[in-house]
Amino acid sequence: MLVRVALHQTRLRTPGLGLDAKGVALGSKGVVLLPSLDRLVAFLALFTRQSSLEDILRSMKVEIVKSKLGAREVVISLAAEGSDRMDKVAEIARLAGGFTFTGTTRHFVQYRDGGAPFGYDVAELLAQDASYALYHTSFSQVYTVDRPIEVRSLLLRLEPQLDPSTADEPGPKWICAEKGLGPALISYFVRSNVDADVGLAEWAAESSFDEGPVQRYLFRVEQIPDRMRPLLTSTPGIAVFQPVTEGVGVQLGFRHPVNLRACPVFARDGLVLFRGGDEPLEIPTLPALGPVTAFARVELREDVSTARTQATTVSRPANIQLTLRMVPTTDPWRGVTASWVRPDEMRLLRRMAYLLGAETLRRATVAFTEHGAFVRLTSGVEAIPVGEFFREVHPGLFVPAGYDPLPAVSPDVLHKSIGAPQNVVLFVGRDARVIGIDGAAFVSLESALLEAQDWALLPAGAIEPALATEVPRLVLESPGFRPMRDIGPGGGDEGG
Amino acid sequence: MARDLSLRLEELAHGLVGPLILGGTAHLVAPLGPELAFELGVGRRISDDDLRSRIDLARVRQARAIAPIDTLPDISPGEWALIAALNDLLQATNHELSSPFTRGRHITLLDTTERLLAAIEGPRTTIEAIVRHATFARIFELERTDTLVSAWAGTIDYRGQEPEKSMTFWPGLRRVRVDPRKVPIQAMADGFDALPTARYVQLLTELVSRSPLTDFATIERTSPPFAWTRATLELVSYPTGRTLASRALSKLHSQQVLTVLQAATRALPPSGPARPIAESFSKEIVERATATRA
Repeated sequence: MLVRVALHQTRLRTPGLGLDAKGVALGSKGVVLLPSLDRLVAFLALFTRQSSLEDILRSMKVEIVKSKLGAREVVISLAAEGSDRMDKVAEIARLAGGFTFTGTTRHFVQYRDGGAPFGYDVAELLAQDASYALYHTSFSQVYTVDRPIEVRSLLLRLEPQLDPSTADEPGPKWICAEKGLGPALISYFVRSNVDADVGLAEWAAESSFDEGPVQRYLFRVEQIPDRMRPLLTSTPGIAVFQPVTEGVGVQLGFRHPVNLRACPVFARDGLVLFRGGDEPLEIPTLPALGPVTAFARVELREDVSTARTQATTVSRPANIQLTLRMVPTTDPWRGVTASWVRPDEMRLLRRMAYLLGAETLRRATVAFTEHGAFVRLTSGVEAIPVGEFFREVHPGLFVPAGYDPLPAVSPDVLHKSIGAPQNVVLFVGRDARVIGIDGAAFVSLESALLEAQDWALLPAGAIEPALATEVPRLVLESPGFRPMRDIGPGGGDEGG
Repeated sequence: MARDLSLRLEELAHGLVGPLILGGTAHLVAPLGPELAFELGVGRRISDDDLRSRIDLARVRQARAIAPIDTLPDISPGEWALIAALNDLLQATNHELSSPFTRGRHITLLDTTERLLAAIEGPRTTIEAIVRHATFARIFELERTDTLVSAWAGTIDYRGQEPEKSMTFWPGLRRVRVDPRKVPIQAMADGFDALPTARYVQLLTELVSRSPLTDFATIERTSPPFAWTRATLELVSYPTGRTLASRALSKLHSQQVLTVLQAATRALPPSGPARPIAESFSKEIVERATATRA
């Protein structure tokens, strides 16, 4: 049914199939046919190990399809974009036991392979109205769509696999504790001076027989001390989760089969916690989180109310609130870890980027806003001498280097007075105007710098024979009739 | 006749030259003799473009190991004659060449090969020395697999051939034991009654001496031992040749190289022009080895 597309061929029979710049037969869509759901999971797992689903997710559609004989298979359709993307998809599909096709509407021919480097065209179209007519060198089959599959719900249904190597991973953690254990855990953290935030998440009752909504305590801990780890991971009712990407956590000791970092399907303002051996916990919107220190035991003095009364009765100004101002200071600069590169200095930043060392590029982060670029480098932003320098006076709060806030309140108080959420990075300008930037907007400087590069795959096969030369081996065979005929007269054929 | 010679050249290229340079299984052609050997390469080249280009590539690779060279001329008539000599010499070890009534063929073939080698001169230019080495660099890698098959009924030694299937079936019942062993080129005449081993080795030495750089590059071989020849002495008698020879030796174990060179130098007559040349080259190699160690 299929014919190979020849070099310089211009006309193709398959509707919607054209030739790209390299001469490869390509439609606007690519289709991957997989025999079962587990192969689909394998495909996703393999794909996300190498690259992000973000590029293809917008156009990706996963459907269960049914052949005329009733067999159900899985079809992934996605925008083909170009043969580079399709080559990668085809390679991964082949590894996952699937076939790759390309086309535009309904008729999809097999994507190019080693046998046909320019792809295939169909000799005769199938006269069917089915959603997919797939033409392969070994079969031609039509499929109707049975039902669609949402990638998000598929990922939620996949159970995490045991992976003890994740148990000791450092970094921030989410902890989910049953309601009864929450207060004990809070006081434990307060006693142990662990820097943690706590919130109370609520899930609707599963049935009318439940007493009410299910409540669980949710903790965000920057760093769990090693001594607490065994207790937290082994206590029933407490589960520790490793954040794998924004809004997603996987229980310690487990690993999700698909690389969730490469699957931007979960809302960033919510939280999904994948539990090993149990259903995932989904929180559509993060509950309000506050520091556990707010729950520390308080003791009230008897004379407090009296003192306050006295104060109010003596002289209390109507309003003592002051406008924040920034004033120059002669104190030495410390902790200068950010700079604000205004739009007119962006060209200088670009030129400077060529001179920066690899380590600086790797460690620096940058956020681009309409007011310019904000560069952060924890080891000291002096390495990037562009823009106005800022020093970090409080986690997430920067003031201009060489300036101090007036009134001289503590940075903690200043931060609280601004009242910004925790993940917002604040820059207080010399004019005391505050600019807030979402912490997620800061990306690595090295990844922000480079434009997409043109590249081409060079065949590496030519060097291979040179490195794997065989040993010359002699085999002895009969030299044939009258072997000594060329030796000349008396060549020994007369015998001896 | 010309067409016949082209066919023979092509046969020789596919059967022996290709495997010798590129590796793989070598199949000998019928003995060529001195007359045909000299005519073979005159005005002819390998017509299989793919094979020729692969051979050229591999030869350049060999040549670049000792000299910064990007292209090599085609295989010359002199080289074809040497290849024919190698074919005939190896064919002399082929027991299939003769029947019990024509065993004299092996000696006849050695005689004609000796005549042929005597007529081939050593390289006259530096590039010729490099070209010959590029072709014959792997000559001592050539090997044959002999298989000793033992069964309850007896033992058969297959020289350079696969054992017959009838000898190896029912291995458990017939207590078949297959014992393959690799035979290097210098030992291919061993155990073959129709061929005097010493003469075969002597002719192999003659053949290798026609490519002096190969002679130096394989100086560590156990048999035939390295000995100074007219071609090797000529090569080290001028600076460029000496440089090439020392590069060919530089990849080998210096201590072993020095031992072999000194033994070969001692074998030269004390009087005469050869010994001072050999001694000065040995001295140069010693100095280089000392400088490298320092």
